[in-house]
Amino acid sequence: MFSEALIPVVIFIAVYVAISFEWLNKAVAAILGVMALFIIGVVDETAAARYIDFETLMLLIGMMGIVAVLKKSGFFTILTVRIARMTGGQPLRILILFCALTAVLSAFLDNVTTVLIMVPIIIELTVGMGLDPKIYVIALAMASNLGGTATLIGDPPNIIIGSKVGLTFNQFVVYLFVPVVISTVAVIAYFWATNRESFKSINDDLTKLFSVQLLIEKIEYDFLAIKLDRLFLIKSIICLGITLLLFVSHTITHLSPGVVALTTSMILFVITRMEIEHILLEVEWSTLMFFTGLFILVGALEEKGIIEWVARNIFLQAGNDPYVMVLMVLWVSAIASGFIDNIPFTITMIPIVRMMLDVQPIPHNILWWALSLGACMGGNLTLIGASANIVSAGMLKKYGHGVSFGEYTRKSAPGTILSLIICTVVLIVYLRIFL
Amino acid sequence: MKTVTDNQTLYHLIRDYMQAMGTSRTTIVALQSYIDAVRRLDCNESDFKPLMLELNQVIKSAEPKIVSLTHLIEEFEAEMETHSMGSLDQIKERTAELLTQKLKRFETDTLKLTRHCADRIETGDFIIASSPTAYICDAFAVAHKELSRSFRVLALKQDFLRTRELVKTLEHHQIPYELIPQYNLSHYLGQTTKLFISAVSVTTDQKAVTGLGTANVVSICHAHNVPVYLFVESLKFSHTPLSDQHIYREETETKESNITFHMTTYSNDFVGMHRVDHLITENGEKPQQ
Repeated sequence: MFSEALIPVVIFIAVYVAISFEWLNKAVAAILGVMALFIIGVVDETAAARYIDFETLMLLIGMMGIVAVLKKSGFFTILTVRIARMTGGQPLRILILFCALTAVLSAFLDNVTTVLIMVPIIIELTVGMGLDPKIYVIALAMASNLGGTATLIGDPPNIIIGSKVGLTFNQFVVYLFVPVVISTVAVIAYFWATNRESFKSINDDLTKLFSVQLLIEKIEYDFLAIKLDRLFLIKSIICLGITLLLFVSHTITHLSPGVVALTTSMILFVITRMEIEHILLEVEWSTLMFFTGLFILVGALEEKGIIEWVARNIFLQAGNDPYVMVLMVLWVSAIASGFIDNIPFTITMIPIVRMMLDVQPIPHNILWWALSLGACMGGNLTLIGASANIVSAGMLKKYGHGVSFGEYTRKSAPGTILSLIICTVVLIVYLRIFL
Repeated sequence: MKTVTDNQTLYHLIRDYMQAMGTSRTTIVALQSYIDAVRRLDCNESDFKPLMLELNQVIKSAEPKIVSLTHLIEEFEAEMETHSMGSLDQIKERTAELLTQKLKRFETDTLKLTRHCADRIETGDFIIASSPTAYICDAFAVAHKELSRSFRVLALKQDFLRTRELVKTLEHHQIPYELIPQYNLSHYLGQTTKLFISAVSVTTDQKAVTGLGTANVVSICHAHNVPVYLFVESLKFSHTPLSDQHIYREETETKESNITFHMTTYSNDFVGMHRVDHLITENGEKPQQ
């Protein structure tokens, strides 16, 4: 078995290394790996097509299309600028309101889109007030990864787990909402407690109050230049609302999230009369190629029995105590996601978790929630743990406030560990209730 | 006390705002911001005056100097001397009241200036506009809508942020216009009839501190006998010479194709008043000295 499996393992590791060290574009690395499997004859095209999870791809394309149209409406920018005014320039209020809005938006949009909308405004606001934008931006990126954990569509690992395992939108919300909310509050509290001086009220400083008023006017001028098409906006929001409603009512309609998202996105394209070529440019085709490649690579490993070997010889060596299994999946996923891309990691872990459940069934999908919490929240551990972190750090650099890997990790890791401890407690409570 | 860095951040913000919206709008927004800041202030009665004086000093030292705002703040400061007694709420109320009076006065001046500007637009004019000043934009709207004058505007693009307000106004009121880069002006000199400009201040040594690029445009127009109209509120007449206008000078380094470019930039241009053919304030045309 080992000689037969050696080639896909070597190719898989090579792809992983190329992705982790950013030697190659993620999509190119994954597809090159697949092509190598084809050329060597490890898998053929028919088998490859079987490995691809089309449900995940449909959900991703659908949501990317909806988000692209919503972004064009300018709705999120207007919302963010309104929040900036609501903060009144109070540092603590900026932290709380921006993190809360980011977490909520991230639960429904992809995390990178959310930080792309929020980060420029928070940087303008904090730099204009003479504050250090790094704390705010890192907190924002963390809130985005945390918020994304709460729903089926919030973060790619959840989309993969949801569609591969058949978990519904409601199940994600029911089981993950509580740990996500507590973790977000804890992370905000952590940033406040460790930087109290920076979050002091400015109400006793007339010059700062004056600067803030002027600054908010300037931000409104800079960011609200877009002409809002109300009809376009209403259509977009109605479509997003219907999509969410259909996700929630899955048990009645039996429509899978992928079908719902792709259908509503196409309806949205028709009713808003958007230039389709224009909108399709916003769909991250490279991400979809990356997913496709990974599905095939992991499918080949599964077919050759590698996944089963890893599950039996690594994860099941720790025994079949549900508490140990759940916490191991949570922490291993979190630490791994802090350093490697959580998408390939989740795709690899799904068959492993399935085998662990075959050995020791755990009710109420708690082991899947452990994987989701670990893979999504672990992204907060380091700068390279999640795309939202890298994008946020890039924007900080663009504004002249570059942040190194070490500095980012020193600021983000304690909050991440805190959130993982909270998840540990919540998962133990779930196990105590349901076992 | 504020540090130099704190003030530089504020001055940078003020410069950005002035470049995008013009000095008059900046003066109005600064006064509104002052009023809002006073209303939100939470301090002891004894701290109010030092805090107010500190902010006044920061405003007066802005780079460049916003002369209209400085004059209003100086007047306000003198009036506050006689009204700084009472509880904190009373002082705050009085402060807001005085600042509101200043704001209204400046808005009235600006409205009058808008009217004078509109009156100088005639049917058949092809007017060059290079500045984003609010009252020049408003004057185009008034002349087109209320006075039914049929004219065209040659909008000079500097950067999109600065040209945005002008183009938005022209589009909104369906005023015919042509947008060109500032450096292409020479192609239009035979057709244009007037140049409208505004200024941050007019100094005692007969210089008008203007937005970036205005000096070149004025020179070209002056050389080609295109009449130059300068619209400026009386409050923008400074009591000091050009050297005291705090024009911000910045040195930057940019690396392109392995060459490091050391560049010096100034926040504003200045124009000799002898190149201005018509100086118009809220009180009408002012004879040149």
